[in-house]
Amino acid sequence: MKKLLIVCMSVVLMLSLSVTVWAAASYSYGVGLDSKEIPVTAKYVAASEADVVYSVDISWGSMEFTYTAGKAVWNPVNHTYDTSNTSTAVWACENDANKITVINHSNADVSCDLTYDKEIDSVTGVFDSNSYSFPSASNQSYLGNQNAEALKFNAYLTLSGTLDSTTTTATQVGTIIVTISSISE
Amino acid sequence: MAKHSNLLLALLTVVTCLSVCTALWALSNQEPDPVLPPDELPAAEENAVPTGDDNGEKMDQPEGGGAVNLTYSDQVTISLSEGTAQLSFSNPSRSNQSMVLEIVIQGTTVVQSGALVPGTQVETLPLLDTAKLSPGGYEGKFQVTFYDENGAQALLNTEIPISITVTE
Repeated sequence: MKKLLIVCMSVVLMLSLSVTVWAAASYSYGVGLDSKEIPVTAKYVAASEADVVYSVDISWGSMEFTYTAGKAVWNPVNHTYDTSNTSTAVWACENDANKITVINHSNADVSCDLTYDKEIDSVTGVFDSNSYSFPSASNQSYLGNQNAEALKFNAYLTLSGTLDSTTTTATQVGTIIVTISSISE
Repeated sequence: MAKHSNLLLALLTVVTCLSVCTALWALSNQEPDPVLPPDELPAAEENAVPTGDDNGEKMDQPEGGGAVNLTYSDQVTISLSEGTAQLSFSNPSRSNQSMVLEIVIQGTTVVQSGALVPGTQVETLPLLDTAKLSPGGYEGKFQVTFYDENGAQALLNTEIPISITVTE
């Protein structure tokens, strides 16, 4: 009885080992009764365009002007001063106090428009140049160049008109509006 | 005579009722007072976060003038349910002036920030209580007011056209 049991157990042991060896062989080299191939694929996709980043420098001078009224003219005929002569009245400011500079650092074309919004009716202001279209700073010509002249715009404000003689301290006569707009392709 | 008096009284009553109704209608349809940028620099904007770009460098500033950089996206989204505007606006550290940012739609200010000092940026701002918007697309503008180191408003400001999407 014992011998029969031992024989049976030996047969079972051999069979189970065979199955284990067979299973290992069929999966380790992909060859066997039930192998499976799993394909691996890849494809190239171009990167999407970088987001547009608008970045603009704006600098401006003190915008402090003085108005010197026309000199009175002595009339030797009737011995009086003629104070109505304002033809020699002068608007003046320090060097570059009336200067505005705009620089485009965006990776897109932008435009700049300058407007003078007067707060006193008798004083008006104009710019020597009140608009400019900037190329994109990512343009091949300016890539890596932070000082490219094409990316910079300078304008100068000139005042005209008259200022009342009671305005003897610095008084705001207007406001400058700088409008920065994207330029659609 | 009594009949005449009664007629007059009735007429007076009708006229009075009409006047009261007209007055009530006018009060309820009043346009809100326009929102103006503050004359002096307000308190710091609560939603502002650091730009993290402070390397100690400042832009060259003309004497008595100002120098700023504005970095932004021209696309803004407004959520009516959250009462906020999602945007991207930065006052880099190299600027020499602080800013107050407003979003204006059809002449009405719907967002006004607190002070954005150099080295700060915002991505979210609350809508003003007076903002009355419906979902849809709008063309509006950023209106940026500048303030010097003493908190005085500069005599130059900037406007930037933007596209705004309003959602529920």
